[in-house]
Amino acid sequence: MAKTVLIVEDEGAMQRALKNKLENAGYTVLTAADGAEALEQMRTGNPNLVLLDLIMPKLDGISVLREAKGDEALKAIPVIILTNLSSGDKVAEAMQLGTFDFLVKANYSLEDVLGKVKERIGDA
Amino acid sequence: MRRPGYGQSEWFEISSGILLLFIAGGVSLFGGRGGLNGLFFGILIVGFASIFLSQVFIRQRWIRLFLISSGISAQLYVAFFALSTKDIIFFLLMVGWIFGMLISDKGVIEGLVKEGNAKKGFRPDLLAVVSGVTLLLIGTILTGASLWTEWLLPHTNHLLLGNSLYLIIAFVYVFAGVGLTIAELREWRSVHRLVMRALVAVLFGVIGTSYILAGSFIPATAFIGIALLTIIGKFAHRVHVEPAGIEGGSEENKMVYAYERAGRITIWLIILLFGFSSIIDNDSNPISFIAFCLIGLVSVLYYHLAPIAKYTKKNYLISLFVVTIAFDVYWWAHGALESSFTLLSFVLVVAAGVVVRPLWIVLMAGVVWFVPLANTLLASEYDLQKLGYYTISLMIITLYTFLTGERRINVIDELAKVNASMKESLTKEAKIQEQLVGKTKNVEKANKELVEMRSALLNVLEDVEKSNRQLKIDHHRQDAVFSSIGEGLVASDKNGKIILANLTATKILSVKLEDIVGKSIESVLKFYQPDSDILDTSVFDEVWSGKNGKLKDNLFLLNKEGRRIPIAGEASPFLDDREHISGIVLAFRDVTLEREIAQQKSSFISVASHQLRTPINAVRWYVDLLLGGDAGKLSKQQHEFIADISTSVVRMASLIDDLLKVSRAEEGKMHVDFEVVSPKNLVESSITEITAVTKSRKQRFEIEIPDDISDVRTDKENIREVLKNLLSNAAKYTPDGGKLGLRVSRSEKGVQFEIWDTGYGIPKEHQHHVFEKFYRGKRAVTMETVGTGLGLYIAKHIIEACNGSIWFESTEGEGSRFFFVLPAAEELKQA
Repeated sequence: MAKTVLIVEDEGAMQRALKNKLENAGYTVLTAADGAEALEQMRTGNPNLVLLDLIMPKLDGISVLREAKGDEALKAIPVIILTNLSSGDKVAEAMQLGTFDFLVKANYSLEDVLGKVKERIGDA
Repeated sequence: MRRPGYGQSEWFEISSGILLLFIAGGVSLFGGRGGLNGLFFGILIVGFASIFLSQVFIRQRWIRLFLISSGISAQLYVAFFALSTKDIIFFLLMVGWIFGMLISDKGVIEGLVKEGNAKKGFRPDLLAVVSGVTLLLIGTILTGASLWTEWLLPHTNHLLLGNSLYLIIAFVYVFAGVGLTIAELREWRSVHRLVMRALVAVLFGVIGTSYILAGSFIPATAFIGIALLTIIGKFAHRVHVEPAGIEGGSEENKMVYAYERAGRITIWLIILLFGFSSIIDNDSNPISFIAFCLIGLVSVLYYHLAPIAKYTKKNYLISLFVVTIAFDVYWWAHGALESSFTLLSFVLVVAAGVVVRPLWIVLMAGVVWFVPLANTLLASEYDLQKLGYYTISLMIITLYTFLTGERRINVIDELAKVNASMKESLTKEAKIQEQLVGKTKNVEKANKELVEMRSALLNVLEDVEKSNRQLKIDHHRQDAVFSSIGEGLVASDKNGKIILANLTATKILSVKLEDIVGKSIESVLKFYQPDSDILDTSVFDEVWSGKNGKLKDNLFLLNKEGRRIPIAGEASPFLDDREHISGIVLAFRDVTLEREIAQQKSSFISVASHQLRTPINAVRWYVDLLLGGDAGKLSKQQHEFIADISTSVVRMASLIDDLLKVSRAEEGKMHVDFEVVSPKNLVESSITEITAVTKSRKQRFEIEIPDDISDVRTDKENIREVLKNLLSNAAKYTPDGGKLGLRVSRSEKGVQFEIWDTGYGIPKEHQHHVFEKFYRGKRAVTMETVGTGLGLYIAKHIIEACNGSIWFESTEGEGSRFFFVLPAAEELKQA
């Protein structure tokens, strides 16, 4: 069975671009547009990996992360922060919470992102 | 008209006069032959007496006038009688006497008449004159008639009382002398004259009485008349005459005095006549006549006509003595002893009267008179008449000299005193006047000086006022400038005490000027770093050492209200002429607004950039998808087009990134994550990229990193970026086939990274612009349009934020070498 990646991203275009790339690579892609949806998807979708944006309505990324890590069922799921923010205070927090990677979207092409995903969970 | 009271002297005179009258009257009544003549004269005399008495007590003017006029008429009567007896001499004598009396009494009469004229109605004075004249006429008619009847003219000689008469006269004389002495001792001056007058009156009365006894009634009447007149005249004189002879007396008195003088002149003339008579009568001696004439003349001249002065009197005396002694010698030689003695006595009396006291006159006269008396007594015969004449003359002389001499001496003395005192006071006045003039001159001089001083002072004042006004204007100007400066200015003296502050400063500090003047400038201007409670006094340290100081960026000023105000400014020292600090001045401004604006700008850029990032990122990813074939295979052209899109998008993304970085750097929000990292690690990530570029451009890339190079403690990502930037620049500005490289080495400051190339280099004139924002060399621009000019600016910020430093060396046409050094980790650790 193909691995599942959850894309948490409120920006529609970017979400679709990521989805497209990952699906083409063979992954099953779940999407969430806000933090609440993200947690739900994590519970129900059983993703292998979560690509998490930080700036979101309703519930921001860090809160999602916190909750996820606080949730027994979810804390094992690896998370990659994918954000436009470049400020470092979030990095520290995110790292503390157990993120493996903190990627600034502007610095990474889709291909790079795919590479990171493969690195984390292997191929689809 | 004065009516003086009657004193003792007056009573004496009055009583003696009265006595005389009664004696004369009684004698003439009961002595002599009696008859109609005697009766007539007796009535006359009694009449006189009663009138006289009433005049004394009633003091009527008209009575006095009557008496004077009747007296004069009596004398006229006697004169005519003398004429009838062919006694020409006596006639002349009487006429002369009358004339003299008239003259001397003229003033008196006139005065009396004038007084009467002033009154209206009954004129008793006129009545008196008329009655007197009437009596005269009666007497004259009777006398004239008798001339032809001869029965009114008895003629007899009576020698009975001859000797005793003279004895009486002698006694009277002595008595007079004693009395006068007493009067002199008691200083009864007016008394002297009164007594003498009385004496004269008495003597004349006596002589008259003797004539009556001798049967010669006419001469008797004459003498008695004279006696009366003497008394009356004295009264009249005394009433009207004030001290005569002094200048300034009333016109009336002057007149009276003049007439007195005239009277005296007459008397002297009479003396002359006496002399004349003696010649014709007995001696027929021309010499004695001449002597008398001369003496009389000299006396008149000197005594009356010469001005009153002691020296003239002396001359008079000298001449008199000379003449007298000459004649005395003559007479003695001729045996006329009597004459010589008489003359001598006369002279002596005169001399005494002029020079010495009247007492001496009397005594002298008495002594001298006794000689001829003795002579006469001793002689068998004597001439009564002659003796009488001598006596009369002596008496007259005595009286006169006494009266006038005394008065004159007094007058002269008085005059001399008055003159001297007047002179003195005049001299004094002149002196005072002189002094005054001198003083006035001094005052004038002082006044002038004061006026000059005043005008000089006024000038000075004017100048002072002018400069004052100018000062005020300058001051106002200064104030205006000072106040209008937008920056706050605070100045202190060399001790740091605030001496002035402008309006803006006090506003920013939220204080009043008076609150801060004199206080220490560092205690009032407190600067703090953001989020710090430590005072930043760096600007003061700088300026007190004599340099211009600048307030650090991002400082805050603590104001009175406790607010921290964003502040920017500079400080400068005041230097005096010897280059010593005499004070400092701080200029500062509230940059709240500036910083806000900068803040807003930054945050705007930040926000805008962030917002831009998202869509650009999306575009990038789609481009990636397209290029990656995820949307299907692309045609060559499609691929080309999308590739171009990609390039543009990449550039956009990088620009936004740079903008973000710049804004972050300017905000001071450059986020630096320090971690210990090896240079190799830092370099590795940049290598792949750069080698791709250099391969494609056939450039050689060399890398040199010592294995034992120490780690650095720095921000990994940012340094990677710097490396990327520098390397890409090196590749960009080196032509194809060129060389470039990276060298890492150890320096004393830490770990040094060198990026070198053999490219075009940077022209000298542009080298100092290299690290500026948006700067791109001309060459760079012509070569490639890609590039924001922000790379090196950002690199500098990053390096400095990592406590390193960045610099370069470059030669145009040869290449550039960019260096940056980062502190080594061990050092930091050790530190």
